[in-house]
Amino acid sequence: MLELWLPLSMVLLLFAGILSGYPVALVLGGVSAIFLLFSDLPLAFSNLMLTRVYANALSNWLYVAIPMFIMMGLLLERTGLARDAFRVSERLLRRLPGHLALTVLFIGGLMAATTGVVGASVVLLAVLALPRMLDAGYSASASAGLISASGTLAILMPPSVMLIILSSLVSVPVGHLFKAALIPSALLLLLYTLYSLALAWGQRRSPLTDIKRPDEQQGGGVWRNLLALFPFLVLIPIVLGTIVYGVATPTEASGVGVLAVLGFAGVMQKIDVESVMTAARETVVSTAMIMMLVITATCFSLIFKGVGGDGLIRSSLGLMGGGSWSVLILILLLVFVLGFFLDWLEISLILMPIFVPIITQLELSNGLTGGALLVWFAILFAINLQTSFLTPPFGVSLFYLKGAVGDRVATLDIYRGVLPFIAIQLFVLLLILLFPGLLML
Amino acid sequence: MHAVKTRLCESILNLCGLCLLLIAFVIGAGVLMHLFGVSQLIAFETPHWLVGGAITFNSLMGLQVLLFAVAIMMAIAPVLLLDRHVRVDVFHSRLSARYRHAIDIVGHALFGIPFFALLLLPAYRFVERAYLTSERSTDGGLTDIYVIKATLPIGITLFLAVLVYLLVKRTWLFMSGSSDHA
Repeated sequence: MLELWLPLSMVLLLFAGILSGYPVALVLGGVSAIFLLFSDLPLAFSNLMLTRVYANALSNWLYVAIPMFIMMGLLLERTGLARDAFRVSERLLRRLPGHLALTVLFIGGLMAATTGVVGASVVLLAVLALPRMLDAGYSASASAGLISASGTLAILMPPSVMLIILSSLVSVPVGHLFKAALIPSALLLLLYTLYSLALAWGQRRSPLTDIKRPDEQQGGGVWRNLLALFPFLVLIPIVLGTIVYGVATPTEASGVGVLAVLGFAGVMQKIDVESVMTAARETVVSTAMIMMLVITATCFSLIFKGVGGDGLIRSSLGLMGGGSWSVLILILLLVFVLGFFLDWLEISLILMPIFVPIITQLELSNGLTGGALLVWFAILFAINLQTSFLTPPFGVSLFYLKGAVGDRVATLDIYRGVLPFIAIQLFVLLLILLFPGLLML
Repeated sequence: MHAVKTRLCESILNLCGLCLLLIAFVIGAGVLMHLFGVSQLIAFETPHWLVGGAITFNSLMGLQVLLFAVAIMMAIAPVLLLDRHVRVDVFHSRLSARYRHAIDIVGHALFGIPFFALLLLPAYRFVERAYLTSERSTDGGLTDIYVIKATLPIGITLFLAVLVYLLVKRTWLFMSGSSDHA
């Protein structure tokens, strides 16, 4: 039992540090430094840490795709290309009941299939759609829930920065993860849509649902409509298609995606230095945040394993008793609960290296082995973490939404609005858990 | 002071942003090489710094990694100065400014500075070794790997400088009991 004291105190110090509000990345680094100095690990471990940082994080060609996918989303938002697509879709769908909700889902899906993080799409949908939805008679909570959930699809639906990081943590090709995430993302989008339609049908009695403004009666010409959707129609096959079918690497596809958005913005005369540089600067900040965590978490994992951390996790999972399935469910539950307080990135970086060896030893007898088992687990992990974007009180998407709309929606309305979507998320998680065949591995 | 700091950070972040934009164009060049089945962009008669005898597809890959490493390692310090690294706000946001100063002081002294100080010497040696052995990439890419590796000690030094600056500033604010300039 004595040898468990070291890793246990490491975990405790980590959580104390994180909860203090000091930057998480620096807590991870600091805890590794302290335990390197005060355990009997040789000081030469610091050389090993540095080599790992260089090899796993800084010179990892796959990670070059991360800033590219972030920049694509920001450029689509900043240049107004996404806004135009939103307006046109709204006009095209205007005859359907609940057309605003459908537009939000449609644009949320398009943004998700072209970008890798949630920030740009939640903010975009919040700014464009929320005031319109409120005017049209949707309740504040329903609108807020729908917008947060649709925007959050971007983190799961490939190309996704989360899947890129997970693929390197579980050592499976990122293309396999992207492919496996297609069905769950489509399923989520479908269930969101059914729920919204039900909601719109319920509100039909309200005369406000299909409010129309005179200036929106004219269609504006088929060609102009198609032109506004054109960038997305081209980007999705270029970026997603080439990766999923193995024609291009994610890094290549991401770079071409950025160039394509710049090209479209140029042709449609929507480009200016200021908006491009703002997008680039925001990309730098997001990527630096992510990479800083990758760097320090790499060191943390190394030291944690060095002081016997795997043993701690193994024995605590063993203490709970039960078979392989209960271990798996325990892990998923732990991730879900941590998701209320921590971001997906910290959870993945800290826990995935510990979980992978455990998962490979489970005997689930569901026909999955080796790479397929890890892909399935990574997707379960990813859906679980995607849910954490929506879970109050610290859901990232909820913060983005609140930040974008200010006092127009009360925090409590947002919490109430996301609940049905969290239920849908958990339903899909359960479905994938029970029927791994849905991933088409 | 505040305006100067923000302006400085913004210029560094702009430079890093340009590096990232440049990556997209380098990737584009690589994809074009693939499409047209060209394996070598230019061959030089005398070997050049960084790229050696020719610019190949693999040199372009190396160039992307170099630009990425430069952008990240240059950006982490200004991002810290602007206080944009992720914090968990469960309790932090409810604390008074004085307590938040205290947390940052303890954090910088206990976590931030020791970690990066520990990495500084290995980082320097890492580059030195790569330079002395004229390490080149094994796949026919860049010929001066020390340039990519050099982003590590430089970025770490910058980051340490910002940490020390923040530690001194926060301690001074804490001692003087002032609660502004969070």
